[in-house]
Amino acid sequence: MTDEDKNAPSKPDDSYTVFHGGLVKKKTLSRRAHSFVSPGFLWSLMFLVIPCLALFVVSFTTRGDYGQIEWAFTWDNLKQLAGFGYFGWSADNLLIVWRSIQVAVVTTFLCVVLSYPLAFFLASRPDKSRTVWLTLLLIPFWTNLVIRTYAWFLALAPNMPLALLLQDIGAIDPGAPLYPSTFAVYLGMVSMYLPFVALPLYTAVEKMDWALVEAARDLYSGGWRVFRHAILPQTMPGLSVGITLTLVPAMGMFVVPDMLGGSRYMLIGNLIQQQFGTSRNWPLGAALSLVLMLLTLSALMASRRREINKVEG
Amino acid sequence: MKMKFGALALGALLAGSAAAKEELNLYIWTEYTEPDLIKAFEEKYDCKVIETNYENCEEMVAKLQAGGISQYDMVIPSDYIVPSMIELGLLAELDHAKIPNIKNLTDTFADPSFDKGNKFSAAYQWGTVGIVYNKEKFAEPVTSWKAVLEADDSTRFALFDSEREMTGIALRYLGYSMNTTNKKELKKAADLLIKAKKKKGYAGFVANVGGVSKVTAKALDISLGYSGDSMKSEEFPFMDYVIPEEGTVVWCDSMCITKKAPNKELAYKFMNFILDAKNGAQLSNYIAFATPNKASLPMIDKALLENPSIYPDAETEKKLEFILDAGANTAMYGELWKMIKTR
Repeated sequence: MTDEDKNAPSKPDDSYTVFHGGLVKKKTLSRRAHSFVSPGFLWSLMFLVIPCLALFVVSFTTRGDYGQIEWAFTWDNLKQLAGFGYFGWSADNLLIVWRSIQVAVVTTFLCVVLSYPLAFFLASRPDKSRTVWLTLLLIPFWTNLVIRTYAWFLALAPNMPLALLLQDIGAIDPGAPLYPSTFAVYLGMVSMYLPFVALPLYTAVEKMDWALVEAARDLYSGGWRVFRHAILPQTMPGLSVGITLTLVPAMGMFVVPDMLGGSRYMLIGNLIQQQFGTSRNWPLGAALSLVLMLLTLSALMASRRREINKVEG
Repeated sequence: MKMKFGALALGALLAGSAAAKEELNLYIWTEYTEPDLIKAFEEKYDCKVIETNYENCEEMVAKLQAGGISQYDMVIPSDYIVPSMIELGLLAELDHAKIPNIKNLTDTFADPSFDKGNKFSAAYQWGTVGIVYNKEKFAEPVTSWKAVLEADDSTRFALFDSEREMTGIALRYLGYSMNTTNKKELKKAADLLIKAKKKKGYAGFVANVGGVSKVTAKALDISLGYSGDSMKSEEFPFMDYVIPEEGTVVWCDSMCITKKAPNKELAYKFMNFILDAKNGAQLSNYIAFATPNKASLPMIDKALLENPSIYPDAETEKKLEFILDAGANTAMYGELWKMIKTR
């Protein structure tokens, strides 16, 4: 019992309310609520809202001749985003965005395809060994991304078993490494994001009601129909979390495609880095960052809406 | 027990501050000092040198702007960024009376194009960008940028992931200035590089020492690199570094004192110390880049001095060009680079 409760008058009036079985002054309750909410609110304000607002404002400023931000507001950055530049209109920006989406979508797709068998495998292990398997899945998580990528350099080098095998069957030229290549990029990307899909999916699979699968089997469903009608709806919550956790960061990822793909192409992450780096063009960089955020937000909104529709329908 | 420990720690802290040495906060590229030389400086002036590293100039400028200006005493920026740093008010004007050894600089560096009259900077080291290649893969020694920019189908090559240097080299190969702002010339250079990207042997872009390490690992036949890395050819006899006949980018990193340096006097001492003939030679002999110090030259290792890719002859020196700050046109170069990297 708190002090306020002890001091409560015998006849409660409108300023009191029942909270968790006790009488509490409404004011106290709202004060308590504020103090509970405010740390989180302040945190988001400091580290999310204010930086985003700053980005938004900066994206309308001008780059000074020496890379400083000049507070002359202009639409120029938006025009450049739309592709109008020094060398006439070009589709480069669209191509960059398209390639970034492509990398993100393919990575997510591969992760999902690989995660289903993995999740079922994990869920079907006996309790004792399951912890070991889960740990194995998590270990790469504890290693720095750049170090893991360097490990791939080693594994894909021309004189390593994997490359030797492919050289022997004539898939690649003798003495050739397996990187830089598209294959290496997706290998790196999938190994990076697999746990993000596999873990939420595993929790969904673990809680699955197998009676529905058996029922579907009893009704002579084929493999695909069992998956489509008995498994997919049940694992949807885990799957959508996994997809979000992969799709969003993969869209802005450029370290892995650069290192394992030989930085052949620019992705939106590279383009933003270029603006804040060599070009020292913070206004354009800010505008680009906003575009990336907008892309991810709209992807998130789309997936949210689908879920809400499902619940309501 | 806890109290005792606290008192002990406090005592140690007090003792430490009483004997606190002067500190020189040096903000410099990675692996760019000679450890013994730093030790000698620390002993001579009874001070401590604290080294912090950066990987590129833009990162360094951003950090200085974000308050680093009153945190570091000395920075070593590259040529092209010096005018911007002066303009942004990051650098202190030098008092030449405090650096008598500045007279040791060679004529080129006594009046460099990026900082006329050494008002804000004194050269530290200089070098070039050139071709690194595997001699076993080429029948004739490589002498032209053609070997990279218009490579044969059988050649596995990578381009240089450095905006101004790569476009500068393409411009130079086409016979234009590396600092042109003529859109037609820039577009032609971009087209040349985009065409190179369509070649069968194209293996992406490499940055810094990436080209050298991939050629020494035989993952590439030919690529680009900085002159100091050419000394690796002693370790890997099949590799060579060459400054092509068309000429190339020359770069120079300079010592500068930040505007709000906490210890300006010590920074001046360091500058003078490095510009000393013997110390300058010791530094350049160790890191294998070229010294801008004419008094140091007689003390440079013969192997280095006679290596034309580190100390180019007068004929080659004429074909070297500094990359200049593009000022308002930086964004145009950025867009050109985006075009090259995207198509």
